Amino acid sequence: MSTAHRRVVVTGVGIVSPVGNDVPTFWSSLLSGRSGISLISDFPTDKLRSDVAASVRGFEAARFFSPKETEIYGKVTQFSLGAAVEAMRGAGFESLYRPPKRGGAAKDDDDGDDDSGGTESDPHRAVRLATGCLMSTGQGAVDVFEREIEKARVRGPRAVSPFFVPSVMPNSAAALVAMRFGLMGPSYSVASACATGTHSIAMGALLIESGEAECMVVGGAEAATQPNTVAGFGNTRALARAVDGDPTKASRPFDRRRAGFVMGEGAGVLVLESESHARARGATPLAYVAGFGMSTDATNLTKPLVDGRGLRMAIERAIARARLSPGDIDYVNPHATSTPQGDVAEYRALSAVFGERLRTLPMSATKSMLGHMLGGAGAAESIATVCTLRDQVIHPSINVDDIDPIFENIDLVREKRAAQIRYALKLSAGFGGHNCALIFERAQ
Amino acid sequence: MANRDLLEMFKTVAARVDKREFPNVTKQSVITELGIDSLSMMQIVGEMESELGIMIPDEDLVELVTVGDLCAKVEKRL
Repeated sequence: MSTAHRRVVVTGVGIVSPVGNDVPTFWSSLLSGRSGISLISDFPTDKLRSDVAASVRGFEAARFFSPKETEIYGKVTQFSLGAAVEAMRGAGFESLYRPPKRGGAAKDDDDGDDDSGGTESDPHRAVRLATGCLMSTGQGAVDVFEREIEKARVRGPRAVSPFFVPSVMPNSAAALVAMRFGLMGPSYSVASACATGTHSIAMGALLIESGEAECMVVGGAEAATQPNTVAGFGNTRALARAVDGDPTKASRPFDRRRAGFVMGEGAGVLVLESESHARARGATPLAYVAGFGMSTDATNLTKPLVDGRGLRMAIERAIARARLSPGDIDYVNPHATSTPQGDVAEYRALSAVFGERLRTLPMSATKSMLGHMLGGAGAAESIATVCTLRDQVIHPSINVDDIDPIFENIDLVREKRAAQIRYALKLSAGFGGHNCALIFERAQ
Repeated sequence: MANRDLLEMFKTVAARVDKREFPNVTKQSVITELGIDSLSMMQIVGEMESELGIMIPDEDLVELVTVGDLCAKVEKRL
């Protein structure tokens, strides 16, 4: 890890979330401590172990999709494109956008698709060839899965849509974003459950550092609040319910009454770019990706290592890769799912790395308002972290009414706070024992 | 089912699948000129098979040129 890396900058961010479908609304909601969690109303919950979710409201699919495409693509892919469009516009890549001519998803050769991308006559050839997409999901298009399986059960296999497979393949969003923007660099998806979005950012940065790409559209998305998924997560006893009848109190990381996470949905997208590429085209960096670290607990499918040493390793690797020491970190955006075990394991990892400094190291849990966007969580929370660095202000953790004594020595930010932050640490840990840590640096 | 009814069924199913109307489609309409991509065409076939409780063999599908061809293949299986 001693080799000098090409520097990676963030030049665009885009979001679809339970607290806003664009970054200004999202960030303003977080700063004001507004929860996006409500009672589930799309299906009965009386036999489920959770009654709350953080759902996306007011997403206008018609802005991005034809009516037919809206039926083909699951919500997870729709959210991904919506967030990608905002991120690409912010990065100054709006002119790459190619709307579908007739709105189909899988076109034949002679039906009018724009297939001129990357040819000698394409004015955007250079950037198209140097840009890829790493857009990922943890669960995939669960809504489409449930719909088509039900269709097969009731009407037989001939009624199953030919679009079923391309719709539910986990790389569907990466393919769609690449098609819409004509991105011909490396594109695929990764999956690491709740660390998916974070790993996507790390892998995108790695591709740029290594010279495989100049720009990467990276992020994560999820839209898995469906009856079977809530049942499955609920039966692992990982989900919370409304507290005192109030759904907005259900997600309460580090509080004594935390009882599990809240299913969330949405998408977060970041445009990453080599610093030299961004500077050459006059783009303004929002932040640097200073480092990343990855590790695996390799112990249990759902339980984190109780001493947090897997996550600790990811943090230490990120700090080393960024050529920093723990004392350089000024803010932590933790994974903080609000599960009894997860929060403790994360605390132990942080304690092992930062020791007594935890007392003065500000930290705030974005999931207290967003719920857990699963495969989208790391990306959405990374955007919150980028906004923190940009504005030098920390959003609050809400619902910390009675902090668990275990965490008494952490500086948990409970009201919006101005701060001087150069380096911010973002953590994620997923089912399967997958850990990922990112370090973002304030843009200069 | 009469071939004319099958034509109406095609128009109804195609509208549902492709989210647009096909008012001027006749039995002579060439499928590739309707702007329906190949996967959507298979979706239309599957919907008709499912609704009518029939199965059209793959070899019959490669010969389809017009909407009338499809209607004839469907009628043969009724």
